Amino acid sequence: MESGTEQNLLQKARNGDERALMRLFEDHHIPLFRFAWRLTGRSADAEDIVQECFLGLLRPSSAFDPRRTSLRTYLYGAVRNQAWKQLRRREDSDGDMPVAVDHRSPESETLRAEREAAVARAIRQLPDTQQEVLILAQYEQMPLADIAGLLGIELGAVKSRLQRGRAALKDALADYAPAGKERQA
Amino acid sequence: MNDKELDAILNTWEAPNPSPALREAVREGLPHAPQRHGSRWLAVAAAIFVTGILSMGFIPTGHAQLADHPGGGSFFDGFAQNISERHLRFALWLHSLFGEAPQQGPRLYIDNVKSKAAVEKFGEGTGVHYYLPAQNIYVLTLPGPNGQALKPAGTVNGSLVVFTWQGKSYHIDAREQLTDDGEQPVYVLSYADFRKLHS
Repeated sequence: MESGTEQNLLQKARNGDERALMRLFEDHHIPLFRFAWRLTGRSADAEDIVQECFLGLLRPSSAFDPRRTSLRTYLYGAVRNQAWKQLRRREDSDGDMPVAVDHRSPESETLRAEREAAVARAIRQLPDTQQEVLILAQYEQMPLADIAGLLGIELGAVKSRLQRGRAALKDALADYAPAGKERQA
Repeated sequence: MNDKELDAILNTWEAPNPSPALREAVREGLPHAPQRHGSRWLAVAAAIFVTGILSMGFIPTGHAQLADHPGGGSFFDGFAQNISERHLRFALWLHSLFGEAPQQGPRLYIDNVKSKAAVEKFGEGTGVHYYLPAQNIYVLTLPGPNGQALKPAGTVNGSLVVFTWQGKSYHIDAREQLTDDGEQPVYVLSYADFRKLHS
């Protein structure tokens, strides 16, 4: 969607236009939810975060500036900030970090579920800075330059974090590679 | 492992979809449109005006009331009270039509559609204890020790217990009949000090 159109919709939503808000919501909420879910590991937390980001956007105090960034990138940034806040709070309270796995898999897909859990665990064990870059690049297909803009870092730093993260994952998930499976067998 | 193989493994980690409640929650967070407020106040103003006109037509009624209560104030007191009460009733009626009373407590969605059916909450603190009287459903969590929740993980049917825990599938063949009434849910608790509870 063109940024001018989004700006119009946002303005209308801020004036109470439900259809405009819902149109923005439909355009953005799924990738934002996925990102929040992968960072927090909990659907309920991810939904709270996405809701807060949309409602924050409607407030007059919202920092969104269409001249500086696209709405999608701004919302990703808002989700990221909220998610890390949520995780810090959780660490302070109980230290419980669930492994985000979608339990829709039927039992016949046990192996797949196990692999999903292993992937989630391996990504979770990366440093935060590598985690977010990897999730945005791998799962949200966000261009590296956009990730750099979102995180406020140099493009080179994004590439380096992604490279280090992927290298660590290759080690952590070696058993799940075709060659690793053969070794296991 | 090469990059292609890593991508294939990473891409097995799929995210679920958000629940329909998220859409509803965002919709309900929308600030009220100024024009909606305007139309509401316009309706109230028009109602007061119309009631005033209607009340004027009831001057003889007001007079009759005065006659019924000889000791009860002047004609204009009765007239004013008459109009005032009608305004109040009309305003209450209007409020019931246009007003949005703040809704407290849980909201119920059935098949993704918001329902007006009652949801009664029992108990205090964390955990779920809801009763849906219209559906005759009692919904609950099963709290374990130290506030850890028992999680639904699978089923038991006859002598076979099947559940999934942290991505692994478990089957326990009890070799004796465990249930008579078909499939029932089983719950799992991960608790390191479980033995101490039973020692």
